[in-house]
Amino acid sequence: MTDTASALSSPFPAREGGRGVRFSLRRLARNRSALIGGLVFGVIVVLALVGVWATPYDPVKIDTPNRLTEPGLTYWLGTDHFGRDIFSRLLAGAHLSLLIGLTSVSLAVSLGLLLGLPAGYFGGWLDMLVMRAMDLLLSFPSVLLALGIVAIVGPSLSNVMLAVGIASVPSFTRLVRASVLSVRTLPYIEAAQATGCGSTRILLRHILPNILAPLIVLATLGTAGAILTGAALSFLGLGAQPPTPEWGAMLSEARNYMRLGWWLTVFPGLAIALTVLGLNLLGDGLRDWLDPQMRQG
Amino acid sequence: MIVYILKRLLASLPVIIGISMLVFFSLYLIPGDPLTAVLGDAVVSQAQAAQLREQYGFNDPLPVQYLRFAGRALQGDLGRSLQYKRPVLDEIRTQLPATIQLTLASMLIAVGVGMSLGILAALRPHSWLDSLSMAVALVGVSFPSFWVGLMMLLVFSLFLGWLPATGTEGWQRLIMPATTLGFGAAAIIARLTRSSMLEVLRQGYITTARAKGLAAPQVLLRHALRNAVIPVLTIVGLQFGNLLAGAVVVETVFSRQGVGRLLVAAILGRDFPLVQGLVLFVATVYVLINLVVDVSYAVVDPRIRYD
Repeated sequence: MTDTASALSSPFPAREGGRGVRFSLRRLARNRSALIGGLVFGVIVVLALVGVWATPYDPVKIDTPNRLTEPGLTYWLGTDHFGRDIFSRLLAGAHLSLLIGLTSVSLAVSLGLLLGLPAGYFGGWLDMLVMRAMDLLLSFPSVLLALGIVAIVGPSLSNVMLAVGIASVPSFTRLVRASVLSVRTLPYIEAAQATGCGSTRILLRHILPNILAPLIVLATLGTAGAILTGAALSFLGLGAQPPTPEWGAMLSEARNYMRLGWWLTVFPGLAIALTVLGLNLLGDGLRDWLDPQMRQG
Repeated sequence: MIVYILKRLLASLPVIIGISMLVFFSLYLIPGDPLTAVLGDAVVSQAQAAQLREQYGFNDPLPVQYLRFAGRALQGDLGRSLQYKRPVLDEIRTQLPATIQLTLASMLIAVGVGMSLGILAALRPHSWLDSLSMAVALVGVSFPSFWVGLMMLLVFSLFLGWLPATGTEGWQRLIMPATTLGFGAAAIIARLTRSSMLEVLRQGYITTARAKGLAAPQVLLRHALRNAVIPVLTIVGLQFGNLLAGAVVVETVFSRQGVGRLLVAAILGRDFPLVQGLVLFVATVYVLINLVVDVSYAVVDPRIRYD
C-alpha cells in the first residue's frame, strides 16, 4: 500500500529504492500505449542508426535503367523516377527526420527552461516580460511562425530545425513556468531557502527535477509535432533540398510522378506517419505513467 | 456584455501592435541590408542604393520607420510585391476568397466529424466504438496532412477518377482539400469532446435529468452537450487559426489558389514585402478569430465574464 501510494505520488519513484523502480517499470510495461509507441519508435531509431552506416543500395545514385520499378524482391519498396531505391532512401533519411524532431525540441526545451525557470521562480517584471513575449509568439499559429522564421533565415534543413525549435519555445516556456509556480511554495523549497541555498541551486537541484515529468511528456509529443512540421516545410521546398533523402522532400519530389507509381508517395508518408504515431502513443503512455492525475476517461 | 466585448477588444490591441512590431523588425533580422530585402535581386548602383535608402526612409530612426509602417498598414497599404509588381493587399484580396472557402469547409468537416466521434465514444466508453473513434483520432493527429492529401489524390482522382485532382473552381474541387485539412482538427476535437462529455455525463444534474424521466436524446443534447461544448469551443477557435496556417500545405498539395500558396511562393521567390504583408494579415486575423471565440464563450456560458 505504501509502495503504491508513493509510486503514484512521485513521478520518479527511482529514488525510493529498487522496489519502487521495479513497480514503476512494471506499471509502464502494462501501459499498452507506451509499450506499442516505444516499440515502434525504438525500431525506427534502430533503422535510422543502421541507415547512417549501411543501405542496400546507394540512396542518391541515379540508375536510369531501373527507374520506376514496382516494389518486389530486388527493390522492396520500388524505385523512384531516377531509379533510386526507395527503401535505401527511407533508411538513409530516417536520421534526418529524427534529427529535425530532436534538435528543434532540444532547442525549445533549453530556451523554455532558460526563460520559464526564472520567470516562474522570481515572478515580478521578469515574469511579466517573458510571458508577454511568449503570448506574442503564441499569437501566431506555429506553422506560420516557423514559415516566417524560414523566410528570414532562408530555406535549408538546419534553418528548419531552428525555425521549428523557436516556434515551439512558447509552449515549453509556459509549461515550465506553470510547473515552477506549482512547486515554488511547497515546504521543501521553503526548507531549502531556510537552509541558505542560493536561487540557482534551488532552481537546478530542487525545482528542476520535480518539474521533469510534464516536461518529458511535452518533449515527446513536441518531437512528434516537430517531425511533422519539419517534414511539411521540406515538402514545401523550404527545408532539405534534393537529392537529400529527407522524407518530406522525397514526397515533394514524388508528387510530380505519382501518376507513374503509387509507391513513390505511399512509403515516405507512411514512414513519417509511423514515426509520429509511435511518438504520440509513447507520449500519451508516458503521461499516464508519470502523472496518473492527468489520465482521462 | 458590450463592456465585456469592449474590454476584450482592448486587450487584443497590444497583441496586434506587438505582431506588427515583430513583422516590421524582421526586416532587420534578415542577413544583409534591409534594402536587399525590399529590392529582391534587382541590381542597383551605390548611388541609386543610397537614394533608394533615403526614399524608403531606411536612414530614419527605427521608431519613426515603425510608425510609418504601422500607419500605412492601418490604411491598408502593406507594401508592394516584388514578384507580382502590385500592392500586397490586392494580391491578398485576389487569393483570400479561395482560402476562406477552404478553411470554412474544413472547419465544418472538423466540427461535424470530430464532435460526432467524440460523443459516440463518450456514450459507450471502453467499447469497440470508443476504441475505433479514438484510433481514428490518433491517426488524425499523427498523419501528415500533405500525405493524407496525396493519398486522397491517388485513390479518388487517379485510381477511381471520382474527383478532379487540382484547381479551385467548383465544390467538387473543395471536397478533398477540405477533408484533408479538416482531418487533423477533427481528431483533436474528437478527443476533447470525448473527455469533456465523459466528465459532464458524471455530473449530478445529468443523473437528475435522467431520474425525472427525460428521454435520452434530450438529456444528451439539452443537458450534457451544452455544457460539454464549452472547452471544445476553445479548441475550435485555436484550430481555426491552425487551419488557416495548414492551408499553406493543403493548397500546395492540390495546387489550389489561396493565401497559403501565395505565402510559400513569396518565401521561395524571396519576395519579402509580400511575406511581411501576408504574415501580418494572417496573424491579425488569427487574433481576431480568437477574440470572437472568447466572446462566444460568454454567450454559451454566462458564468464566464471578464474580470
